[in-house]
Amino acid sequence: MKKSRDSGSGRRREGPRPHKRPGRPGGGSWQPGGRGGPWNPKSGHRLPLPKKTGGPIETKKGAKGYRRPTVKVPFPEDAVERDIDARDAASAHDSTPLSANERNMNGGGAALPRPQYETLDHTADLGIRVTAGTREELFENAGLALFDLLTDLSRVRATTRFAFSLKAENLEALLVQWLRELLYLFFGKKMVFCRLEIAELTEDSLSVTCWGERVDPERHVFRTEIKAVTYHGLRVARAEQGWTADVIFDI
Amino acid sequence: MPGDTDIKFEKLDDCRWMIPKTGRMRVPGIIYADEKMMVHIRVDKSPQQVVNVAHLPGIVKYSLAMPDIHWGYGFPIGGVAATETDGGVISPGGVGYDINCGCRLMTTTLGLDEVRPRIKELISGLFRKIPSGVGSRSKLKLSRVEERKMLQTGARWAIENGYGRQEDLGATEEGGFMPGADPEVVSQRAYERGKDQLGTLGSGNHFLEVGYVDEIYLPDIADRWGLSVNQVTVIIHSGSRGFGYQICDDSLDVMTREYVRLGIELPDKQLACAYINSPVGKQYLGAMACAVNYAYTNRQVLMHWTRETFEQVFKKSAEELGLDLIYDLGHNVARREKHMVDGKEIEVCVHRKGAARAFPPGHDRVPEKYRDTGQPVLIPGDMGTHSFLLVGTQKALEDTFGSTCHGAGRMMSRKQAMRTAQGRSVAKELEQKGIFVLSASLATLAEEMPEAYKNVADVVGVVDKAGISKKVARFTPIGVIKG
Repeated sequence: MKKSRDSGSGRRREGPRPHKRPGRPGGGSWQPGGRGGPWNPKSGHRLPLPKKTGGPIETKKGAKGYRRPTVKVPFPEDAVERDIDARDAASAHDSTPLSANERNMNGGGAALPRPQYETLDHTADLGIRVTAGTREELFENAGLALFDLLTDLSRVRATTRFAFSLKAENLEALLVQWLRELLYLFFGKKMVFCRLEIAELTEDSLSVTCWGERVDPERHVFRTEIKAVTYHGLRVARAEQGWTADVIFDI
Repeated sequence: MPGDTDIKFEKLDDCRWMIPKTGRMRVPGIIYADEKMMVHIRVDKSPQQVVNVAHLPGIVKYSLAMPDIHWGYGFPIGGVAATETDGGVISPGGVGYDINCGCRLMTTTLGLDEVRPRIKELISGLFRKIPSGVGSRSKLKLSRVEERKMLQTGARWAIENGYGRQEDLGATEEGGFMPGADPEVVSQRAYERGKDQLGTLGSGNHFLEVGYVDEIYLPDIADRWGLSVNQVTVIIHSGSRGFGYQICDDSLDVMTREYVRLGIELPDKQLACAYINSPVGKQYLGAMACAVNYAYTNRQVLMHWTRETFEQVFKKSAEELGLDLIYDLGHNVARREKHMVDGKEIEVCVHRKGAARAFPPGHDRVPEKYRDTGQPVLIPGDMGTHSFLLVGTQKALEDTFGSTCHGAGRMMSRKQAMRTAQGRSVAKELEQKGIFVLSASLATLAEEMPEAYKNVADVVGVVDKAGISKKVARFTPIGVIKG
């Protein structure tokens, strides 16, 4: 799986910022309490860790923890920030379908696409039915539908670009792997994406570019905790006007 | 796949229905339920799942389901199945995504009259202290070394680091940890998902509830366990959070390929499994044990913070307030146990998904302090309804591998619940019933409304009648925090 990723800051900054190199001294992925204290971007060195008496460190308020260095990423030209329309909890799982054309509109920038899906009634879990004109849009819609269930997408800004590719045994397994990857990125890497663009999709592989940002508990609203993507009732099939897919999530 | 209408049920008695062995089933199925419940159950696809589980290689005696049965991933929720460790399989679907989701019960020396006037203060304090809800972040930061120690020693680690007392271990199932945890086989993704969630309550049907004992059914046992009417209690219901979900997900991914490679034929892909004594099987068990320990630690830490909150509100120490742990048990675990099968004692791996252990008096795996009465079994009702405390029996050991139900089980889908909740304030309704609720999410509150669940009293009634566990006491909530 190829990953090219620029990490971004969740906060707006005034004026241009000098471009900073990603990565940090010592290299490797960041671990809590792993290689020293917070990294000082000015000096380029790690601050020493406070003396530990052993055992876990308990923080007072939420886990701000260590902050990554910020890297400026060119803003995609056609990404437009939408006004935040706070949706009330009761209608959290209803959505108004947008046509595929609306989503692809040019001139003045496409509004960040709203996911086109409906929820399926299921006793203990949550299912979605996604439809689209093309297979690529189907997968994109499914991914956005997942994020829409997890959080309020209207509050997500496209400040970070992230690309990767996946392989699976067949198209249906690919859909599951795709959604699993997105779920992992949300809960594991704390990334949320409001725009997905599949560059290539075959029967058993896909490559995609995602736009979004790091999850900010102060700005983003969390909705449902999705534990996993299941194979139950999984279906990817042609429909009269394109494609349709059913997926059930364990929640 | 045959539909439910194809399944023939034979009534064994008022509480049990058998599905005779047909086709490629290796054993018959038994569903514990009464007539009324069977009406709903027949419509649900869960009996088909009971049939499917009976196809697992190495399964012995029966494919069981408890009265709170409902549809799940592969195994039904409320499913119990034992497979021989020698030549049998382990299936992650038989444990569930939320590995070692379970609950614990604490008693206090406080009475209802002392706590009721201060319930808002208490619940608000708990809500502030205990991170809950989707996206809630942990207050604990563990180094890699500590993390590994925690995953290997579970609640012991928590107590060594000041999150509780040594006596708590004596009141926890299996001493609060599962041996054989192997942090090396846990994926990086599971670590990432779990690292920010240790010491968080979770969301969905997880909760922390302050209630009181309102009815006692077996006074002798209740006395021995230190319970009395109007005594204030606390129930904590939580699991292994994202750590467990990811481990289950990763394992299913591997096993879905493994069982095909081994040539095992399964009617449902979601019963993906591997032989217990194979590297893949051992890997899952090693990872599962880590998740089991994570959940024990989680509940221990949550209990510690509960004690601290009570101390702050009532201005007395936890010892003075008598905040003692009665019991902690899990209802999504697979354990190696010895059971009598066809007159011989063999070692089996008992999968309990949405089912709790209910061991009798005298059993060596019941903690010492409960060995003469039998193991306490806590059955949490869901938000706003009664919870029950039961005791394990010899009959459970004989009939269900020492297992019983775990709770209520959903009846209404979330969409249905949301529709039913339209225009209603679930929080206000509960407040009118005398239950003060603080929830991190309004939507969850609606989805988790009491009507969305089966009646836990009915479920408990069936297991009591069947003799696989006996009612000891009932609790009523007065305050709840929910994710």
